[in-house]
Amino acid sequence: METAPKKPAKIAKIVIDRDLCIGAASCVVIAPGTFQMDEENKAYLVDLSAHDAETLLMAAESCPTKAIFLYDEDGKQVYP
Amino acid sequence: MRKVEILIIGGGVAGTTAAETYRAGGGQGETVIVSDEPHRLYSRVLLPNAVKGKILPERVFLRDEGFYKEKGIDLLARRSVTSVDPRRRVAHLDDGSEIGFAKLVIAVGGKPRAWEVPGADLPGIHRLQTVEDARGAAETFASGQRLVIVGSGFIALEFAAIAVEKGVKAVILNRGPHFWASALGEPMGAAVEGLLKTLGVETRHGAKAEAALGGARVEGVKLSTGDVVACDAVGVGIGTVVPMEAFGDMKGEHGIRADASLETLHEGIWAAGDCAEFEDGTVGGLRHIVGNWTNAVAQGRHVGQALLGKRGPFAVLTSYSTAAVPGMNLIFMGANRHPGLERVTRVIEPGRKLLQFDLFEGQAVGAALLNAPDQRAAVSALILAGKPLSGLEDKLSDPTVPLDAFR
Repeated sequence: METAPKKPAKIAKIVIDRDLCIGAASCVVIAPGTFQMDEENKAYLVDLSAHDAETLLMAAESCPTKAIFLYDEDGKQVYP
Repeated sequence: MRKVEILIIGGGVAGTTAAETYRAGGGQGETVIVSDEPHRLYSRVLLPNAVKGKILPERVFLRDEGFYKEKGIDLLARRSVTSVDPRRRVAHLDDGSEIGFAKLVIAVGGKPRAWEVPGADLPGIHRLQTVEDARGAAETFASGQRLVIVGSGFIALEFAAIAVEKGVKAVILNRGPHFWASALGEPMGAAVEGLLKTLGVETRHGAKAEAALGGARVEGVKLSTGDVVACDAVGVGIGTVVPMEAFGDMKGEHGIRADASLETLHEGIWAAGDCAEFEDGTVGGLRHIVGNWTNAVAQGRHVGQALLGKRGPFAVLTSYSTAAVPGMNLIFMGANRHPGLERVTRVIEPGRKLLQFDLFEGQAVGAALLNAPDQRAAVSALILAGKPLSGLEDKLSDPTVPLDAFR
């Protein structure tokens, strides 16, 4: 490989858009310490620090409705 | 001949997640994804929203142009694999080229089952699998039209939801004796049908379509009884089939045969996602195919770990839900379509909130939850406990008995 993939920035804030969430729960599969499903079948945030930034990014990227928004320490949106 | 470390057949979420997981875990080998579609990864789950006009068409894409380059993943789009030689470790492509590989992931997904009636290719007849399908459907459906929906599964529900959203009058033609008979028992099927009816979507059972009628566009669907259902458009949702021609002795009954770790009978060749017919340790070792987004993500991730040398059984109880139709939240878990399932229904609120347990040889291997997401954790625990439930059907169907009693 010519270039090593750059590591994502530290994730300081996660926002889950409940209107977009359809309860697929793919985020829970990838980062169960950070995301869980509530009684309305919507994802909610448990513990932002339970997984590293790379795993959190993969969890957000796995969402089929792009309902998970990630922000870095400067408040800049990292994903989507 | 080009030789790569990792070859992935299929550019959907299973294949893409496998490649990402491999890279994220430090895998440095040359990685190629062969995809028969012209697109980078997109969300099939979002396609109905694009048809409804709720999102811009570009929003369905889940990875941007730079993603593949940045990760060092070579996406060979518009290419398909015609055969694989597992011993020589070579894949043959439709353009006559060959790619050698050290490790292979088969993640070809499912293709919409052909609707085999005369007139099936008339304009105005739609599937809902690809970006192109969604574009076509978005152009067709308009308020005041009449839509015929063929089938009664996930895609039929999506078409019904589109019809409700767009003010299109829809009729569902269901071949079976009740709604979604492949996955739902009669009580749950009737409840789903009833909820659709309150939204103006009618269902006809035992309705076998014999031909699509029309000239420049579809104008009706003829049934085996001779009846004609007039319409302006048709939405077909009759399931998928796994394209297996290329995979020789790795073919199973309905998908690519894999063991409990998702590996095929050839070492270093795995199946993942909607094409994998795998031995599922979370449901008593039943072999089945699970066709949903979340399972494809989970299996792509598992196989990505295997590419890094971290092997082990795949042990995620599959679960998926749809909330496409207003007032209807439907969650499936585990195995719902296996032959020989005994279905036990628990009615919490008649016609609205029900649980269905799918028992195989006396053990709960699957469930369906209608408007009962609050029961998700308890039902999941019940399935994973794997206790023998023979003789307890009456208690299982009694809503006053706590589900903890069956763990």
